[in-house]
Amino acid sequence: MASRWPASAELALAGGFLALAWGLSVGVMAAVMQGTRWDKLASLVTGLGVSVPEFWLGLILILIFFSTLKIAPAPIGRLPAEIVAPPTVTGLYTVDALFAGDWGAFFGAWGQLALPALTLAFVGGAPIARISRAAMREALDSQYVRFARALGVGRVSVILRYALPSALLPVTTMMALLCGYLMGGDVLVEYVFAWPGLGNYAVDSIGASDYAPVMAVVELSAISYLLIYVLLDLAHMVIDPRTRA
Amino acid sequence: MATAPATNSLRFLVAVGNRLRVRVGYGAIVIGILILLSAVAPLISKDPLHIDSTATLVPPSWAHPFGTDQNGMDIFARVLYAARLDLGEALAAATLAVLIGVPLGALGALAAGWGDQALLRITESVQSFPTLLLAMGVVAAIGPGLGKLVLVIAAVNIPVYVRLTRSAVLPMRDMEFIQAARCAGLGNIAIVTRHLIPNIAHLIAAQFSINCAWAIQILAALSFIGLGVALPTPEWGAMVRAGADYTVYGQWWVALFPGLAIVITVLSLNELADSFRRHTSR
Repeated sequence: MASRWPASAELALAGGFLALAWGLSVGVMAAVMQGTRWDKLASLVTGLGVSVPEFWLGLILILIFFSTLKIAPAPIGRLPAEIVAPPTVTGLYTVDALFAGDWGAFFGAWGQLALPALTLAFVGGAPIARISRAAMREALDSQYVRFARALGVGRVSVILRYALPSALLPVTTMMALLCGYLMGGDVLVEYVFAWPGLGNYAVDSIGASDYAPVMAVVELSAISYLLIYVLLDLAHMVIDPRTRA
Repeated sequence: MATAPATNSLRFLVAVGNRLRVRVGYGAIVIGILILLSAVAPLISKDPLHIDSTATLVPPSWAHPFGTDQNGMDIFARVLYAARLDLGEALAAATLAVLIGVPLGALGALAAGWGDQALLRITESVQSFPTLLLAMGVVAAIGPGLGKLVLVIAAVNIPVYVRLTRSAVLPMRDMEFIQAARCAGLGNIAIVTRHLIPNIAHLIAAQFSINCAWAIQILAALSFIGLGVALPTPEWGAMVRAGADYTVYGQWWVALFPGLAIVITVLSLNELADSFRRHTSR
């Protein structure tokens, strides 16, 4: 399992960052432009994001970018077939290749990572966008934001300095949920892209009717879930003054 | 207050129904159409299990609107028949979860003793597992089978109802109409069925329809990784799995249509849930 953990971590990091980036920015934009055409478009896209099965979205991306447009590499794991893995430093090929100065491996690893990370990000970012839109909406309607506006604080400043910080609180919770989920390796995305991570390990073992690894992966993600929740509660004590009694 | 049980349950249903007026949005319409289509599937499509070895992997055409798969089975027919299985399974699992979770949560909130605490701890420990992984682990342990799948998917969703009901009932517990009911001599169970559940029915309905969406996603995901329904039974996730390898080689129709069916169904169920919830905020 130790050898597969970096693969899952690499995918989780890339997918998680992308998910946060698009989820948060779309959510905030939709809240600011509430009721406009863009807001409706955003709610349609996030609606799709929470409804689409990851494994199917992955297949469709493969179909478009690999089979049809031929700009993505074959979905065969973390590196193209002809490239040797860089010497291990962090276990993340995208970083290790940089340390080794191996540009072939560097671009190869990023190329392989692109589609699975995008799949993960689209599905993971949709609930983040929904939560941040709702939280941002609430913050923008609040008394103190109206007060700041009345004082003549600029529009951008109101959004970024007054409304956004309090809206971030529920977003951290959602992000923690996503992290907890990603820690165990995303079973479905890893399977579709033949990504040699924890999730795929579990699926392979199911195929071989060897259920001990499945249990191990389930246990591991439950434990990381709990750990992340503890960290989240501690973090909220720092971020949210109301919880400091 | 010695009314016959039949009138009692009738009164319960009327009380619940009164509070569930939904604005019919596109979610309800699409789900309606899907149920209708799957009901008349034998009239408008071929046999979903008929193997035609002379017509394997045929692209979509008039004879096969969605094409055929590697065994020559008609994908249009299979997508329609799969709707029966997927929707039926989702309804069964969600209903089971509601029937167990809601009364437990309501009684827990009313009793507010060690039973309530024990209930909370149990739901917390179940919820500390990611839903899909938990379902995976359990199915891997007890083996596949449609009945078992319904039970597992229901079981992983019961905690959601327990907590939802509990948190909705808690603020209502000390309200005057509940106290009045208590003064009138009603027991806990009568208060739950006659006064509490009708007042939170819209929340439960919203959760129910989200739950159906989850159930479909979980079943499809389990089938996709080979733990759920196996070929040749028509099921959307299993059909995507069957088409996965061909998609890479450009034969897109095998996996595209069943996946699209999942997206449309789940999207509509989520929309339906939103329309239940919007009803409350007004």
